[in-house]
Amino acid sequence: MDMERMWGTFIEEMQEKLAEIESGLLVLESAPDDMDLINTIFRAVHTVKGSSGAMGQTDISGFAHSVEEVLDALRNGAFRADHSVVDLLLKGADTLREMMCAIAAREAPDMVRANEVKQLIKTALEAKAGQTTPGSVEAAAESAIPSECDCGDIQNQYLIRFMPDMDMFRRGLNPVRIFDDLRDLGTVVSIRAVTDRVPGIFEIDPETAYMGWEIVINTCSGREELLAPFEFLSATSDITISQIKSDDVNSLGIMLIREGIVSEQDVRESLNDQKRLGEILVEKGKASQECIDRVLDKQRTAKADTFSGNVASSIRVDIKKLDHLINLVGEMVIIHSIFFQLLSKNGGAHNDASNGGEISDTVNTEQVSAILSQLQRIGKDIQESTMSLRMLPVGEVFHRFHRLVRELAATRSMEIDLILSGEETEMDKSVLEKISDPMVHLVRNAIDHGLESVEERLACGKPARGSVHLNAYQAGDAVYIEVEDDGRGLNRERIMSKAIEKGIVPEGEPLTDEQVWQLIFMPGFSTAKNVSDVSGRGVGMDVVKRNIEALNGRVAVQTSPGRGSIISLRIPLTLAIIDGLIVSVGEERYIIPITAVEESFRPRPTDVKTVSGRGELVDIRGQYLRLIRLHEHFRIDNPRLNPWEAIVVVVHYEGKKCCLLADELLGQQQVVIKNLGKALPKVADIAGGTILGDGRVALVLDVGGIVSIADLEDAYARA
Amino acid sequence: MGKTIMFVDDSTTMRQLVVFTLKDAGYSVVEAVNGKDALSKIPSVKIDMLITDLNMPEMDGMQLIKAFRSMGGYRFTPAFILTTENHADKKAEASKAGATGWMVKPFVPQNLIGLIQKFLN
Repeated sequence: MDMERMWGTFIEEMQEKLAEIESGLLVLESAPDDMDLINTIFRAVHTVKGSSGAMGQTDISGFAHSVEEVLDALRNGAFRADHSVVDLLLKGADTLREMMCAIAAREAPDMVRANEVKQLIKTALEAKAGQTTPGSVEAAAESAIPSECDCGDIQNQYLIRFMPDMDMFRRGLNPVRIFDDLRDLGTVVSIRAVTDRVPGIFEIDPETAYMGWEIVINTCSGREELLAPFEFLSATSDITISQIKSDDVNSLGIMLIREGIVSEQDVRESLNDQKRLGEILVEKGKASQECIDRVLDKQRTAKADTFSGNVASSIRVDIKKLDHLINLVGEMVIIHSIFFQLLSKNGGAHNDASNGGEISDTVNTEQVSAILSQLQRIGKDIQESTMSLRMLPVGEVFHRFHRLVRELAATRSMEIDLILSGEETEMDKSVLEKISDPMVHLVRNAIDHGLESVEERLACGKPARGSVHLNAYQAGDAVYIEVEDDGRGLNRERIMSKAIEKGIVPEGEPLTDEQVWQLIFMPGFSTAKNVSDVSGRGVGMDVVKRNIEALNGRVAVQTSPGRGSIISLRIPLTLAIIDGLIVSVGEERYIIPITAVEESFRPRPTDVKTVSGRGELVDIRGQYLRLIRLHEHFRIDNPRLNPWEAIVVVVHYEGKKCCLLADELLGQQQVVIKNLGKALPKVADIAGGTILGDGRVALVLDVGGIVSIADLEDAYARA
Repeated sequence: MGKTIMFVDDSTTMRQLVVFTLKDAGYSVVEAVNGKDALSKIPSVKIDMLITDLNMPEMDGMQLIKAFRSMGGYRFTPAFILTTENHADKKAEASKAGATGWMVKPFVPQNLIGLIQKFLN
């Protein structure tokens, strides 16, 4: 078994448990008496403690124990899960996460912080329970006190009187084993049976342990070691160990403690005492404590954020999806063999079963054709099925926001509700990871700039509690994610003045509302009063836009002054095999995804009109749609210029429609979209490329991209 | 060695580690994720020892051991509980439920081997 794999599983499991703990604690705040919930959280912490200990991570294990103590107290009703308790537990969960990050990165966890939090826990437990906490079970590594025995030297003689638990046999315990163990500890001088409890022969139950024993043993071991063999019986049995001779010379460490020169605590502390880099620097006057603290804080949050990056990349897969995929592969294998059989069935003397089945010369093309199309279908299904394995529900990212919103609300003294919808909507795992940071920024933005303070809201007649709504849904070949707030909305004047001030827009420029909202995504725009939130993380609205566009997505803004704003992200689903319409323009071939196509036709000359200031329009059953000439867009030579001699394809994108002009419709087929390669920059109008059956390269069009570029070009032309 | 041990724990990490350690030491191992799962598997395997975690969903270690003891042929089979609780009352409870003994978590799986060898040989 691979150590790497075991480690990977361990880290993964810990990550799961930590997420469970955190989400449980957040719910606990509103349901402090939910015993089931407390037990669930307890079990999760318990597992962290056990598993990390078993993996040799005693620091984390020990810390988890402290956290567990608090939960145990909650379980026993020693106190209630009020806000301060949940806060403390969240601190504990955070610390566990930080420690876990450290070890995932193969570094030692930061014990200073852990000890701070441990102290807080200790104080809290003492305060609530009104008594000192029982000594925690420290992992053996922390104990620095040397054990007593100098074997071979001084032996003592003990008398052990053992009256066992009468259920001993029923628990599967055997006294003979105990005697053997004792023999390992020293020299057994004598064993005498004590028959006080044995009843008359007719009353004896053979399964009950009536008998007791007195054992005299010479040993250099101490009392504790002598009790070890009785470990499982000591609680329920009568065991007395009395020393027959007195103590002799003890080791130095023990003596110092016994004589009161140092305390056990002193020794323990001295060992843990180790100056940290930060401390030394502060002492030398090289840095201020403030600065050190601030940087440590950043480091902490950065580490916590990159937690997932340290985990071996793996994914949990819905077993139904896997089974479906396996079925498909099975079908494919069957079709292959049918195919093969078909090929070897037809034809003449060349066919010989003994040579493993040659391919024959004559083949029934119809049958082959049928099989090939079956294969093609299965191939596509397999592709889709495999891609869907990588799909995760967006809820995985959404849920992390509860914590963020809670903290932001607390630090800004606001009351905020986080509403989630559409969490089951699925997206590719890596895409989901990439939108996580931009979403964090959008939510922070909504809270920092969108939502008003409680007083302001009340003054406007809004409820005191502000709300942030995260919504996800799939439409067509994209997933839409919306971040909505019911705050003050965007202020056109403020944005305009800021843009003019920063020189992004010349004064007096007439801009539509939509264009004004898009200004907030310009680099350098940030109305950053809160530089601390943004600095060090490299996220701003412009970065959000860039990240989304890197995914071939788009960001849109809707806002209503005084009512709120919605930021929508459109992320295309990456399915690499699509059905496409192949069109020709001059010598070139292009593919238009079928999902974007509504219809195609050859218009009559009268259907095409030119309107000044608006370009060409095509009349489709009374509706006039804009016509975009692909040969103009791509600057192709020798196209068919007259629409009535060419083909018009009506396409839709984001709820809008328009027409594309191409020369000819060449057909429809399934097409594998391939990336154009890293050497070429991403462009809005091309989604990728593919190779057609005749070996030519065809570019796959992104309709929305074509329209945006056409818009831009029109704007330039008019200017 | 031909001895079969059943290990019950809801933590994947623990199961993985312990199964590996036990198999390495020559034992056959049957895994279960909680008490209910264990009880469903026991009738079809003959086990020589049961080791179970205490805190598990659906059915915890105590209940499992109680049920285990009342199953035919397992009245005297060694049955151990893994527990991090060092409290005396938990141990007494375990004893009353019929547990042979306990192993305190966190432990290094090698220590488990020592315990098993004592009770299986």
